[in-house]
Amino acid sequence: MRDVIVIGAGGGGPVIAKELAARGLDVLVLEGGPRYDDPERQWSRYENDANSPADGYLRFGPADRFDKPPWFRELPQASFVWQLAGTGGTTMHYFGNSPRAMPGAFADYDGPDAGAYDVAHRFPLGYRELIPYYEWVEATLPVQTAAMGTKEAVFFRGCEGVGLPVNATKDILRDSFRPQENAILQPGGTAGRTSDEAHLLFPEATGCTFCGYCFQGCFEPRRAPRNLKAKRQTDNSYIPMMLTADQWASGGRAATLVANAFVTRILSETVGGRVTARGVRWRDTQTGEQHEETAQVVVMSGGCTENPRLYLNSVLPNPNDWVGRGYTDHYIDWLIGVFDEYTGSSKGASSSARVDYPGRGALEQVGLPPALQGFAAGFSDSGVRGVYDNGRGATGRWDGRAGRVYGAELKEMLSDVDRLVNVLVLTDDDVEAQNRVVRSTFPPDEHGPIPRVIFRQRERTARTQANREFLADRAAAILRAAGARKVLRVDFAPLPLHVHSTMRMGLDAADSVLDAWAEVRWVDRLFVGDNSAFANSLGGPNPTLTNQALGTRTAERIFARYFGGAPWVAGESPVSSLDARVTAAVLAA
Amino acid sequence: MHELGLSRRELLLRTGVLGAGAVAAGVWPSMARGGVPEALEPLLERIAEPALQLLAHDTYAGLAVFAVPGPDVYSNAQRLTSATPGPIEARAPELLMHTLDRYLSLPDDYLQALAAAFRTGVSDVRIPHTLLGGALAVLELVGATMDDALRLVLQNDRNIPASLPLALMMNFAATQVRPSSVVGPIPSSPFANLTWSEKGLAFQRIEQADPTLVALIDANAPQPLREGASGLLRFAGNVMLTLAAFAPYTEFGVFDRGTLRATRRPIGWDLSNYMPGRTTPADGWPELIGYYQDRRAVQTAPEYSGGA
Repeated sequence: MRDVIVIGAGGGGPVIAKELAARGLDVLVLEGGPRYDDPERQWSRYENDANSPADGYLRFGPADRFDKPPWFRELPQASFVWQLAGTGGTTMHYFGNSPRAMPGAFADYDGPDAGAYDVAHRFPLGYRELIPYYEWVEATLPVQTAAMGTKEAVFFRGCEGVGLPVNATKDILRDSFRPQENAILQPGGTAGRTSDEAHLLFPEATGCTFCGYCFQGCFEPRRAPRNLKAKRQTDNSYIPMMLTADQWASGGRAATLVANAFVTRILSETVGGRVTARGVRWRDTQTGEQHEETAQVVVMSGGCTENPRLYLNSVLPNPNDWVGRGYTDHYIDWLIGVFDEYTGSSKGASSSARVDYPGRGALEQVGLPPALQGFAAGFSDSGVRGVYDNGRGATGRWDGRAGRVYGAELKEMLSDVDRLVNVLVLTDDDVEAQNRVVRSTFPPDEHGPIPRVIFRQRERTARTQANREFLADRAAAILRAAGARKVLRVDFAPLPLHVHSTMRMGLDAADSVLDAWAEVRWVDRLFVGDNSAFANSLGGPNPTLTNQALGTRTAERIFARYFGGAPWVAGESPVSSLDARVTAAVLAA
Repeated sequence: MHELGLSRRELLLRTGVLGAGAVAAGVWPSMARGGVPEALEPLLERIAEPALQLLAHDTYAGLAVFAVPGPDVYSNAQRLTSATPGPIEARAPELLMHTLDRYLSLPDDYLQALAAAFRTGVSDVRIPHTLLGGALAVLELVGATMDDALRLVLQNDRNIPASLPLALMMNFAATQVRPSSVVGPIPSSPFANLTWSEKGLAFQRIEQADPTLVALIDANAPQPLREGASGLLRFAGNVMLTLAAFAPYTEFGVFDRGTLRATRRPIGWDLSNYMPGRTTPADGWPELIGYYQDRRAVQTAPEYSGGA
């Protein structure tokens, strides 16, 4: 019997695994997708080869991507769920953006704008309580203030132009803009100063080389040890640490990682009248063999779509029917500014600047290579600009109606990808029971009934819709102030890139699945360790840092409650993933 | 041909809508049979799959140039062209079909039902004579249509790639927008014969789950997949339109899977002035300006210092 089994090696699972492995527990991590242990050889970074939902190396499907189809999920509306299988999970895609949550999303908030948030679904803990965990994760990854390229300079010019103040802290206190706090090692040596690839090798170059491929998985600078790659996706940070915990943590024990292991059932038994998790069953995606393993504690870290699916397929208690409900996604939207000047949109970290509007949400500047730029221009719930608008097609400070940029307009807009600046709208959206994951009536796949992901895009709450309109207006104003010749609003259909709260913790047992410690209310020894544990959508900020801070807190809880240990965050200093002991262990592996 | 085609289409429209019982009873193929004498079916068998492949390709070519026009025949057909290369040169139609076929791994019986639902959209579409030479020329004489080819494939219970029923759906919507689109410069695809604006109207019907489209799917879909037609239309419409804006700018047309490298510079990179002169992704750029207000690090705000 293992001490702990963690299901999923994405943005959350490796955090809990690393922390508990460092305490000496026997931790098994099961990942349904492949393990990428040599990305410089395994990843091309070409846009289709990376991102194709059919056979891209960052798709959601089994390892043999050219031979087997991806795992199909039912989406009964215009939408696209960008899931990802493999070590690192969706942090392979993420931009490393690591803002803390809005304080107003938590139970202890009593500011004058306290009523502006999703007050019915606050976190059942205080923001102040989470800060030591934020600081622990920020030091471990580490999180650093982002450097500035041309696109950031253009965006900051717009922020200054509309009179926003600068936020020079880690916390969101008022309407303000700032460079991102990114889980990206900032450029050193020749990085960011040359395009000569002979001089962009580690150690001559360190940190971010401004290649522009955050979304395709980061392996820059070449030749750097895995834990010294620029972007701190978990396969560059927490996974190397969890696998080498015996070498950098006193009393630590290396975690075990099994890739291509898709968990199909949580095993349980009744103990003292309580349903209790006792292990998992998984399927080897390459051989088809079934395996079972027992553990004292099981942690679900498979993501907001797969966690509810696995829970429901395991036929575990769901007395209030909230498993899978309350899916939040920041109701994201997209605006594009077209400039007459060079912006460098395809170069550098994909997002290094942001604006926060407490009670409303956030904006962030985004740069993309051309095919993803085309995708972003073409993904709309408002039809095709100039032809039809699906009953939407909002007008405002942008040019014309919102909608899909298509035809001659798309070709003209994308005639120079480095004359664009994108703004991603991250709405402070409400938890709504109707947005949810259920089991599909489509035939099951090899891992059981598949999930059906439902978003009622047009039935979102008035607060959510008003927040998005406010933010779109502000985004257009910033782009105009920055000098955009043309501003386009796409009006995204549901594109859950930021996903949260489908296994939510909450103050009220009637509308939550987890208690305040991320343990399932009705199943002892079963925890959730990823964004699906969130009580809400954080007020708009990007979720991964909070996922990892909350996961660190959950690890302490598991250690204290089931293994008789003591918490460590308050009394110890974290070991950075850059630590020389970690590097030595990675190189020795 | 036109009059004959229209009458056949009207007939099949009715059988399509009213044919759920026939499908369930397994008798619909014989009901639909009519264009090609049974004796010629061995010949039809030889041409059925290439014909349907051409239908699908030309439909996706019509979609690709709807997203990004170019200097090609499909752009000419929609009356919106562009002097610079476009998605046809970038092999975007092939990428669209490949992606949809693999990404939408829907159950076989569902795909077959979808194809059956929308086959009336090509009931007037003759198998192009470019495919019919030599011994196959007799099929042209009897007016063999894409619907005949599809009927044969469905009758033989063959696997259907997801791109085909979605192409049929686009073509059906095209005939709703302009019935005469069955005749035009692209003989195998009514959708590809629409003008640029008409293509938008066709997709409006798909994205807004036009009741006729919904009824056709619901009448044909097997249990337990009925009642999901409107969601499928909205999802599929959005995915196809979005992928069509993505595909022309990718490396797909020149990518070598063996080496994971492009064999030459992707056309989409020229269209977007992306990394002029390069064929491979860059490892970095001299793009670093500095740090805003020279600030390299920030800390927890005084309001929150000191923890809980």
